[in-house]
Order: sequence, then C-alpha cells, then structure tokens
Amino acid sequence: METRNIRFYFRGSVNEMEGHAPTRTVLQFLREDVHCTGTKEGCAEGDCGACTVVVGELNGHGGVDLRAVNACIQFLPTLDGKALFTVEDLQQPDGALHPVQQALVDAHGSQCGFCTPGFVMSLWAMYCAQAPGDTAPGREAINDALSGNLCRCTGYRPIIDAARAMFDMPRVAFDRAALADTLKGLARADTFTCDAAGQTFLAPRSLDELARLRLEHPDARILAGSTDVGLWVTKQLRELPELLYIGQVAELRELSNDGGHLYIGAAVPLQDAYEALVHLYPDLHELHRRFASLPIRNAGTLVGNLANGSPIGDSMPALIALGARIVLRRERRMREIPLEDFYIAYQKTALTPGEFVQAVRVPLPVPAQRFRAYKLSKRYDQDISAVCAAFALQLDQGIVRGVRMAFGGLAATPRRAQQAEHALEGRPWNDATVARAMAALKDDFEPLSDMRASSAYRTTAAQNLLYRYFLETREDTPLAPRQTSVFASAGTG
Amino acid sequence: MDTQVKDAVASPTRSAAPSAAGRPLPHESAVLHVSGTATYTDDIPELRGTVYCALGLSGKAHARVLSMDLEAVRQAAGVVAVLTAADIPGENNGGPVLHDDPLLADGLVQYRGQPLFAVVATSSDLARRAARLARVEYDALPATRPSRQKRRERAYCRPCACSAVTQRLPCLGRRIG
Repeated sequence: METRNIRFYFRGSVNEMEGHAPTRTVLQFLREDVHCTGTKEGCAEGDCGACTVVVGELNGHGGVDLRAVNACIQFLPTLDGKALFTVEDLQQPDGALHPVQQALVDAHGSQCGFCTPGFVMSLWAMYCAQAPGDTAPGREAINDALSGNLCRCTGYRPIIDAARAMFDMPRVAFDRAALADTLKGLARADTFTCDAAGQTFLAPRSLDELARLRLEHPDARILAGSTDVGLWVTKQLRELPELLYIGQVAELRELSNDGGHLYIGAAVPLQDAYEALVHLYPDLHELHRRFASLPIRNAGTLVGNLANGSPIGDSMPALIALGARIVLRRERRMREIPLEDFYIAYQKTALTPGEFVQAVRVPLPVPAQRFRAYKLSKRYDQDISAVCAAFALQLDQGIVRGVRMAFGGLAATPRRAQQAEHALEGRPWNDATVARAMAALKDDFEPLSDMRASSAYRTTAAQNLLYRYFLETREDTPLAPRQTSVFASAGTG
Repeated sequence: MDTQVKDAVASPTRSAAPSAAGRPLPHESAVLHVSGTATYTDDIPELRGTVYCALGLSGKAHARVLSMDLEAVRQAAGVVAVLTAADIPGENNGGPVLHDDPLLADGLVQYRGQPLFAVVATSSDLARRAARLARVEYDALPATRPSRQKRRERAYCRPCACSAVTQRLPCLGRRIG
C-alpha cells in the first residue's frame, strides 16, 4: 500500500496534508501548523471544551452529520474524507457575525473570552442541527449541547440566554447538500495508509480488510474515537508507532435491530448508540445524559468504552445487567461471549492475539423486566463515577427471577454481584429480602479508597442504590424517580 | 434601569452628551472573542528561533533533594539548555507578599509539583519528554494532611498579613472537596 496524503475539507476547499506524524492532534495542526489560533488549548485532555471544533462526515443516508468534538485529542489522519470547521469559519463573507456569535455578544456571553470559541462551536453544531420549523431547544437540551464546555467567568447564564436568542434571529442556513457532494468526492475505495515521522496510520474500508490488517500488524493500536487513546499521547507522551483506525469500516458503523437484539458495531459513536438504547430502555436516559459530555460522545464509541475495560467505564454495568453479549472477531472467525466474561482482571480482557471487538449485542426489553441504572459522582456532567450501578430482574408472582446486578467503581473490573444476586434469586421481592442482599453486597466487593470516594462510602452507596432500586420497583407503592433522585425533576425550561 | 440613573441620563447636568451609565454595553472585546480573533499570549506569532520550556516537577510533597541527575535531560533530543536554581542570577524568590516562593527549588521541596529545573528545547513536545528523564533522589520529610482538630485550631494557617482583616474576618479554615 502506498502512502497517501490526508485529504479533508477546510476553509472552503479540499486540503491535502503530508508529513504530519499520525499522532499529531487536530489542535496542534490548527494552532502550530496553520496558525489558526481561534481554537484554544485549555486542558489538552478533552474536558474543558476550549478546543471544540465541528467535524462534518458523511452519514449512512447520503447526508452529512456535523458534530462538535474536542480537537485536542483527535489525531489528524482521522480527518481524512471529512470536513473541519472552526470558529473562524462562522462569519459571513461580508463580515457580519453568525447568529450564534451575535447572540453571545448581545447577551454578554463572554468575559475573558478564552472559552468562547469552544462555546461558539458547540452552539453552532446545535444551531445547524435545528431544521427550519423545529421548536427551539429548551433548557435541558441547551445544557446537554454545552455539557462539554467549561466557563470560569460568566456563570453560564448569559451563554444560555444567547443559546435561546440565537434562534430568534434571521436564520443563516448551512448548505449540507453541497458539503455532502464534496465529501463524496473524497471517499476512498480501499485502505488509506499514511506514513510519516516513523509512524503508520492505517484506515481500512471493510471488516475483512481490518481483520487481515489486525493479523498483519499485531502490535498496532486499534483506534476509534480516540477519547482515551488521545490522552495516551497528549498526557502520557506514549509512542504509538502503528494506528489501526476503524472509523471508516462500513460494517462497523452498523446500528440495527434484528428483532431479538440491538446490534451496535464497533465504530458507532456513543451518542448514536445511547440514543438507540434509550429508545428501547428509557431508564438509561440519565446515564446517557451524564455520560462524559456531548463532544466526547460524538467522537468516542460505545464498543471503545467496553473494549477499554476501565473499572469505571459507565457503559458496562448497564449492559451487563441487561445481558449484553460482546462479539469478537479474528480473521474470519467470530465468537460471542457474555459481556461480564470479557473482563478478566484489571486492564485485561479476553481478547486473544489478532482478535478485536466487532460489536455488542443488547437484548431487546422483556415486558416484565424492571431495569434501572444509577451513576454516583460529584458533578452531573463530565465526571468519573464513584459508583455506577445497574439492576435488572423480573417478578413472577412477586418472586425474583433472573436478577442481574452489576457495578463499576467497586473492583478492578466492572462486575456482577454474585452474593447479592444469590440472596435475591427465587425470593420474594420485599424489604427483608433486599436487606439480606444489601448485607451480602459487602461480601461481593472490597472497594478502594481514592480521591473520588472512600471504601466505606462506596460500599454504603452501593447498598443504598440497591435499596433505591427496590423502592422504585416494588409492587406496593413504588416511588417515582422524582421521589428518589434530585436530578429527576430537572425542568425542560 | 434604576429611576434615578434614568433621570440622570435623561437630564444631564453638563452637556447634551448621553451618559454611558445604566446602558448595556457589549464587552469591548466581545466581537473578537466570538470570532476567535482576540489575541492571547500563545496566539502571538512566534519569532523564528523561538525555543520552548518545560519544567521538571517534584514528585514529593516535602523532602530534601539529595541529588538531581540531569545528564539524560541535557542529552535528550532537541534540548538547548537546562536551568537549575544555581543558574538564577538574581534572588531565587518570587513571593510578592510573604516572600517565601522560590522559582526553582534549591535543596528543599515543599509541595508536590514544585519546579526543580527548567529544560529548554526546540519544541514543546521535546521539552516535555526531556523533563521526564531527570533522576532525582529525595529524603522524604513529614507530609501529613491536617487532621480535623488541627484544621479547627487553624494550626496550619499562616496569620493573615493584614491585621485589620484578621480582626474582622477570621480565617474559616474551610475544607474543600
């Protein structure tokens, strides 16, 4: 395979780039290589949002998706075939400000101004997602759109005012059709290879080709949204000489419902995966809202979260409780195992050499099933869980059947609570049974103390989350979420 | 708008020029902020030949520095210079009020992350990589988190520099986090 140049749409035309190390970030490219300093660096780890840019990409229906992402942790070659928009792109040719920008000026939405370009881009992505005639987003939707942007000066209220006011101004349309045509012209039929500075970047187009390359390059780092791998470079200064990017593999973008399971391919972004999951399981709504931030969910993938296998990964407890199965692939051979069996020890999964995760399959809801997922952390958005818990069971004439409870933050891997499940299975769903199961939880886990939570807090919280689950799902006067959670009554403003 | 201010604006005592008081005015840099054209320090185009600095930081909260081997740092790719406390020509102290803030630690570190040395290289990335190659030997000194009792006694607080403030607003010794 010969090395090609990275091609992407930027500043009104297709740009060809060569010579950049594959782990050079989009932010470094903007600020250092082409001196476009409107996009700022605040944290270089995908938390503050000062680096927010918008990436345009062809979607499965022939149109374009415009997504806000953190430029600081995206590697430049992943832009191949896509479009990059930054704050400098928004002004009209005659110099007039875009409504997003004008609204921020009018509402006094900036003080020091350092976070402002990031807010502009997150707001622009929200603006472009509105079709003419849609109702303007309410407070909750605005909060979610801005979940990845931090401001130390304004207290956010003027920015939220601007987010409302921008829809009252004369509309500035974005020509999605023209961009789609341009991006179609950039599409490649076969693997894109980029070699520079002693590093190799490989982007296959098909699952078979990915499987073949995986065997040929056993030490290559598989890359999807790079929301964790980006930090391996920006913060840990690790060397990643070979990157195997799955974002352009068509089969891995599959998100489908086969009547028994929801099939989520490895390259499906968290945002899309969770929208589909919440549609099936509305009780996942809060976990979805609180999962990292929107820019992270736009780039990061659900399977990436699962494959990374962090003890505090927030997808795993819920999917384990729902009985999800993970699909592994090596060459042409596929195998499927229960998700909980994928995690062997701290940062050690069941992947064999040459194998990679192809997808996850989540069972469709069973009518009698009672399911809840809870996340405990100090902040609503963008925080690592102290405890993440998920519970599922069915009741057969008041008797517990098929109980599954899974926790994150309590052990070296996400795990089911065997002793607690055993104390519930086949017993009546009542206070006495639940009290015994809460006691049994102490035998299931010996959590660590760290800066997020002490061991005692984690144990007590896990027990009480089981109790909250009981209060919400007991047959006699179950409590509404409004009565058990301070977040449940958040208005739509 | 406040009635008194409104009246003052409506009937100025001097000339006919309207007062700015009481009227909303955009931030004088608002347009620059939202268009990404406000120039912050790191946005200023660099002169040719600019070099980049990274700091080597203490891994200990409280310790004597027994030795600091910076040879690997000096030899690392792109490194132009390595600076320690010994290289500071003036006084190694930047504390504006209490005058207790060394720029680079000199034999004693008093907080985790305290700068020990500076390495200058031809790129920011190379400077950061070089800084990690230092080998520092510490003799750890006591470093304990204040107990609740000590916090109550404010035993870890230095008295406020302004005695007038101390009398009116005692330090609350608040616990954060």
